[in-house]
Amino acid sequence: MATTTTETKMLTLCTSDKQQFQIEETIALQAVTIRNMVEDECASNVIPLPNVNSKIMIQIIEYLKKHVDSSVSKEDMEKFDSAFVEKKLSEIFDIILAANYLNIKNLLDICCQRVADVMKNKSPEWVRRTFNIVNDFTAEEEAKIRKEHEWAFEGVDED
Amino acid sequence: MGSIEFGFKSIPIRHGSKHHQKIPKQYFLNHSQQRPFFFYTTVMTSTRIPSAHTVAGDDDLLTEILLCLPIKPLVLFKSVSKHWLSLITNPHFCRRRSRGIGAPSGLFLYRSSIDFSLECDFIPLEDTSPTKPPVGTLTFVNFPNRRRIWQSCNGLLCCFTFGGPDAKCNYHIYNPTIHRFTTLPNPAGRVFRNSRRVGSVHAVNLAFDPLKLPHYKAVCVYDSQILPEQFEIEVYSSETGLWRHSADPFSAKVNFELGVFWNCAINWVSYQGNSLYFNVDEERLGTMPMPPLPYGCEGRKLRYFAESCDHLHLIESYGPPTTQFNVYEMAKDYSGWSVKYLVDLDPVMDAFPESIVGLLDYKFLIISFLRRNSDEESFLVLGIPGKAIRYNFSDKTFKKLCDVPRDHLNFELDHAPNVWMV
Repeated sequence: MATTTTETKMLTLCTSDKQQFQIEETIALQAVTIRNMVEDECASNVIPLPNVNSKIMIQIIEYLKKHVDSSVSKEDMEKFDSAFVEKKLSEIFDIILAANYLNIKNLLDICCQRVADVMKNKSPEWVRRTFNIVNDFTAEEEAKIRKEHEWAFEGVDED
Repeated sequence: MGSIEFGFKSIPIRHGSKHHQKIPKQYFLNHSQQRPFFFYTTVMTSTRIPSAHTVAGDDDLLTEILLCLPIKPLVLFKSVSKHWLSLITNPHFCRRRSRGIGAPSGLFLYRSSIDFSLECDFIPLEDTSPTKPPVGTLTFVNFPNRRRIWQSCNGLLCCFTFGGPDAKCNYHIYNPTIHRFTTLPNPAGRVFRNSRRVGSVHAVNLAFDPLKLPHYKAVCVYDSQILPEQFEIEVYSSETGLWRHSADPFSAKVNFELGVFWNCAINWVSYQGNSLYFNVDEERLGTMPMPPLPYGCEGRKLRYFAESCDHLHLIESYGPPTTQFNVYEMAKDYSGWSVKYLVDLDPVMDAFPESIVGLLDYKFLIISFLRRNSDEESFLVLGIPGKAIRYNFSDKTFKKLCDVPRDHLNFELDHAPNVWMV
């Protein structure tokens, strides 16, 4: 090749709150949505990400930077992942929505697992409250389900 | 434990359920009027997370989260709302979940006790396995009769109850994960009996593959009423709830009680001559050869016959007691057995001398052979007096998995009592 300098190609991501992030293309392309936009050449240098705010973007970039590094051992990557999801549940849900939009499968998987790990000892009441779900069972219907699955209701955390 | 509600009547999926979350405001208000207290608590003292509500409103995302849950909370969360119930009991969800389950993390060892309770010992298989079983006690409500577990098949158990004041015998298909059972009706004109009489039922074997169908079939072998020393087969389908006659009289020298479901068929092993299988999908009988007897040996003793990871395995012993044996694997087309592993348990016997009897006899049971996707990870679970041992094929290492009370393993039997996996 004629060029001697290997220039790192950079992309600019623009979040919903109009913050701009300059990151290496190789890092950003791990997000399938960004890759598709770049491949389809429908993006100029600045890629708008109207569904992600800057607070979440910072965390996603931290994740992508680690995962692009092929020198990190599998074990260290697992350690990083488990430390990464040690966040408040509200942040995890924000990251789930962003990871779903950006199509970053691994990130989505570890965050869904994290939510499941938090949920697994909780009561249905806790779930309804957290997810803001209306209990649309009648008292009889609910009692019937409880009776059928009595064993599952043992040893559930108090709220 | 793969199954959630397979084989049982599941709640039908509601079409257009994707939009079920979007509850119209009007509905919400009406609801709150009926339950003012409930409404108050959700709004005023809520710890709700707005993005969580958005995630829960997206069936794809919610499904991903639910798929990560262990079985117990998953069953518990059926009571969250009608929409959650329909998602969790939807057959597609069940299929996806059982596919992700992979290898079992523990075994239940059915005690060969005489009290006919459904007491089981739980054997955790990995260091990470829970030491307590993930399902509750195994009890049939309203069944004072004596009972035994006949067979386990991909998360369902085939149980037999007998005795009681009316001396009735029944077969039940039991799902221990959700604590539900269905009692099989008697095949037309036949009664299940607990004794060998003409027309006796020899065994009811279960055919259930949740990855293919949410329904199970039960294969009943009974003495032919037309021809002496011949058998006939009826098949029960959980889909129709009916028995169907499906094999004309045939003769066989096999142990019908030790049927194993593999390759769409119930497979029965023979003590002499060829073994037999009954393809449940095609309702067709076929023969399966047996490994050749070693030179000079006249009889074979069955030590193990079961399926793991979609392979059918057989372990036999011949002649005088030995610590060596072959683990055989059957070809998919039933053309023959091939040796998968050559095992010598001598180092295990040395490490646990309680398993050596006198000079030349050994007390060990092959409880289970667990095949994993990679051969290096496959292992045996052995029972020796007082203990369950894991033996790894790759490096021939072994270790104690847990204690098993001595009287729970019957070394008089050549083969281990029923085992089922979770």
